Amino acid sequence: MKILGLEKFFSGRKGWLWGLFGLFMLALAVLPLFASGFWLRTLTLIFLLAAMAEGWNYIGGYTGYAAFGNVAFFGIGAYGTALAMLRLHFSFFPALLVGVAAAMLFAIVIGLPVLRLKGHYFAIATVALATAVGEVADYWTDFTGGSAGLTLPFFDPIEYSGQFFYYISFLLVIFGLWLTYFVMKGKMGYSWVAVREDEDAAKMMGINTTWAKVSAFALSALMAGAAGAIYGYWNTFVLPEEVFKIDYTLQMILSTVLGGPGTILGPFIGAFLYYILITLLVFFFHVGAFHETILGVIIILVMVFTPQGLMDFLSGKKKLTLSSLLENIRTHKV
Amino acid sequence: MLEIKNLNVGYGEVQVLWDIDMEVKEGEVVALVGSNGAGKTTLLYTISGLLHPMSGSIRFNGQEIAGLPSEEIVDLGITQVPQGRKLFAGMTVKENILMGAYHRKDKKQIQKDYEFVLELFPRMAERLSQPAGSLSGGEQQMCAVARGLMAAPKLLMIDELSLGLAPIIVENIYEAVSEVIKRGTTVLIVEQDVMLALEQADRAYVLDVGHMRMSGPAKEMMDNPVIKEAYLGL
Repeated sequence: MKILGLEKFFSGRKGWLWGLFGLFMLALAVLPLFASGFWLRTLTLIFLLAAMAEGWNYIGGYTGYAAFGNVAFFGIGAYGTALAMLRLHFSFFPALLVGVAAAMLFAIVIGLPVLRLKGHYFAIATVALATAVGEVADYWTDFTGGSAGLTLPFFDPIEYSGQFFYYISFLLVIFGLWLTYFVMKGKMGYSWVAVREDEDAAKMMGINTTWAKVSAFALSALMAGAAGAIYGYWNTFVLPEEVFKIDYTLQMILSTVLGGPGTILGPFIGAFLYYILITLLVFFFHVGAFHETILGVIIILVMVFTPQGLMDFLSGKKKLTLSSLLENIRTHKV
Repeated sequence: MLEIKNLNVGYGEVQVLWDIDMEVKEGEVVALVGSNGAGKTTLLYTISGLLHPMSGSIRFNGQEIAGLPSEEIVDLGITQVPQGRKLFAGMTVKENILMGAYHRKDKKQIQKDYEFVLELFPRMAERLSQPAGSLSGGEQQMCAVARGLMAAPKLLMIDELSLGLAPIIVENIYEAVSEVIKRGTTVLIVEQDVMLALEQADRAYVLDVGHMRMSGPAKEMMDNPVIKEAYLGL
């Protein structure tokens, strides 16, 4: 028998879920052969959101720390890449590594003190940090170009630009899914979940909880940082108020929560769900910020009725019935 | 094996334990008794490294462990079955039990120990794939003890095993514990149920609002008039 194996992973309805998922991925892989620029752009955006959500899932979903500042990693990834390309004249891929490394380093240095905080203290500290980093990018003009931003070269050859960014984002999403699977079947994954379930008990099992939390934080920075790197180059422009926008943090959290926090496919499915929801809402309620209000209401309903997200039902753990929705209210004491 | 000297512990400014002296010898079963709020759990948390003492010394097999990080203390061979069980509710019973062996690398021996704890608690073998949160109170306590044993501790500390459980189940679990004791594991039992603890133990300590009041062989303690009056209600 495998120690700490994931034998329950493929049981139940998850079998066909993975089959469906495989077909969907295949369709996405061949899509650029047929689809227009609009669809490529839309899906690239969804992929980048999914990648960030996969990352947020490590710290927020599996480890249970409500990180509200993950956009900082996105912004640092974008700036690190842009600066490496402009100042060091790196080509895109080495520059992406610089951006990702910067985001991860920041996560480790910041995570060591901040991850000692719990609950809403941690949440507030991460919001504050993300805001602070955005301000630094805005005012450290000599280094970051300040509020004028940084302009990057176009992808060359430009006629393949759409395909390039589509596939690179798609690869990042797949990498994220693989990373989640790989981590969660091993000891590190179990240390994250143990911290979420009971941090004191995790310590009693001999888990270095500081390392568990920092590793989850750093890997979530990896995903958001890489997404930021791709986004910056795609946009050919990196601006503080754009890449440090708190909306991005909210989007990754919402995607994860909609799809199912602490599951492998949840954030990926959630990103699509979020995007479809937002598009429908804008379409039907195009008056100003009203669609955001509706979105807020939907999120509250999701949190109340399906706190484990859609994955609970897709995986066959629960049936989507009224009684199971009401049961959720009772068990989660909402 | 475990020697505690002049230990002072507190939460921030509030001191909870004053000048605690205590000793657990190898192969012994020691009971730590005292009423609610006496500081028993605080003492165990300090031994486990979850709390750091203000001053004083805790030596384990001659090595100073006061203030060491908890994972190093687990590595040295001290494990606790915590009060309130503290299972990982979302994980299965099997995952919980195996989490006890998280710090170990000797896979073959882990497998043997796993088989041993399932023999010890056959009820757990029936419930392996169930989430631990869905177990009954007694089963959760069995799972917690099983998880603690998987750490292959040299010193096993059991905190308030009987709390909230039916006497018959408590007896059942203590039978399993005595099986472990027979195999040579040193055990420190923390209990509010003084009689129960004294029955299990060779020696006992009485903790009273942060001070160590009394210690001695468990048999003598049972006959001690002060103990009888204060804790046994006789």
